Amino acid sequence: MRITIPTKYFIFDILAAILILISFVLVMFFTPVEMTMGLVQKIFYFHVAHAWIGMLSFIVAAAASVLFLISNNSMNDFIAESAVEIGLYFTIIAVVSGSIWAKPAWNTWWTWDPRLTTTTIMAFIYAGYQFLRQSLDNPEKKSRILALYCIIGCISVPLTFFSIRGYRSIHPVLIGSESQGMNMTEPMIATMIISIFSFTILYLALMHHRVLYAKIKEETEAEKYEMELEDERNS
Amino acid sequence: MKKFLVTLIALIRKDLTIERHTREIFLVMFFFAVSILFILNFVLDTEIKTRYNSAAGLIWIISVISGQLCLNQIMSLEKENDMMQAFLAAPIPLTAVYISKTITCFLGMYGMTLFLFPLYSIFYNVSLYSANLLWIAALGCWGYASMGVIISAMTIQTRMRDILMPVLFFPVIIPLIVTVVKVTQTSFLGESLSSVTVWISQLVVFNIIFTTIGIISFDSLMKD
Repeated sequence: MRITIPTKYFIFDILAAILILISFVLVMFFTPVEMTMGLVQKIFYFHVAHAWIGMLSFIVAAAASVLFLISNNSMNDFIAESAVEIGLYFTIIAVVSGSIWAKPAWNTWWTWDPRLTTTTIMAFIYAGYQFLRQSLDNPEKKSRILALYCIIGCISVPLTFFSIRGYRSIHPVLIGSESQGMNMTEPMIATMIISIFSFTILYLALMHHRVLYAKIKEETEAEKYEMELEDERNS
Repeated sequence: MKKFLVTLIALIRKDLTIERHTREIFLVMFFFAVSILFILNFVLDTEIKTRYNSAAGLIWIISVISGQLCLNQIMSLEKENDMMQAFLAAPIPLTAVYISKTITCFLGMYGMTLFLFPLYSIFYNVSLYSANLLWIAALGCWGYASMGVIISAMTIQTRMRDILMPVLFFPVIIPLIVTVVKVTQTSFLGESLSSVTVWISQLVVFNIIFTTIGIISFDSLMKD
């Protein structure tokens, strides 16, 4: 089977590559070195972008799952599958980069902060979704079960956040807080916004490719499943 | 409504009768819980205060892990001899199947958890008696069972059902566990429950959300 990747996909790829490069240059040479944390603070520009993509991806996956249950359109299932996989990688990178940052900043690799804990639990739910996808055979039931698990997971994440928010937090609040915020300068804020935007474009580029892959994979698996059923009937 | 109740009672009676004859679920689950309780002796600090402070968390962890045995079995019963297909073919509401499974699982979990409180008190020489535990445990166990049955209904349709169950279930159930441990701990410490009103409300809300999810989604999970 010959697979043709549409040209418009490459536009996103090139745009994402240029923007990521610009973000990298800005982070390394344009932003000032933070007074107390020093150079390690620069991780933050990528850490926030990854955490944002993780969260966005989870919302996209849940929305696609709801749409799948309503419309039964398999494209929504492909979007959910792709969003979960990409979101899982971005979330893991966000947690690991946060941990690398935490060691010099908070003098600990890990703290049971509500945001950290919730993000990690979100990664567990994503991972569970991946395992569930691998172990289901019937293509029709598979999509429905996965859509339901994705919605349950999406409901569970905010519940987890609310249930543990009472615990003490040392995580900086970037938006809507003056007392606990990082007191970022204008170049810092601008770079952070550009970084988030660049990674969002990268996310879109990855999603395009992953959805195409999911579509091809599903068609192949459905054919394989049909052939296996046929063999069972004949034998 | 009458048909729903008749079906519900018949299904619960069926599960309990199977359990009475085979003793494959509740008894195994109970002995598993007691064996973990014993093992804890070798890892817990000998200081009474530590044992007292960690009682709520440990008891609920034991319940959660042991309860998983019940969840694995409760849906697997219907997998044998294609009983699920019979349910689908029968003119009964599938919601009744979900509620009956939740009630059966709840009964097993609740009974076991209520046994664990005095057992922990006896083994570790701490006093954990409070009438409030009756309803706190009921709320914790119902939330656990209502979500557990749904996840179990998903995993029985997979190739690696027993292994997959905890991987899918535990991350989802965390908010309930955090809340129920907090309320139980407050009750153990003899403090007024008015200081944890928010947590109790959360516990009730989680139960409502989990049960609603179960009722809404069970039909589409099971049908072909």
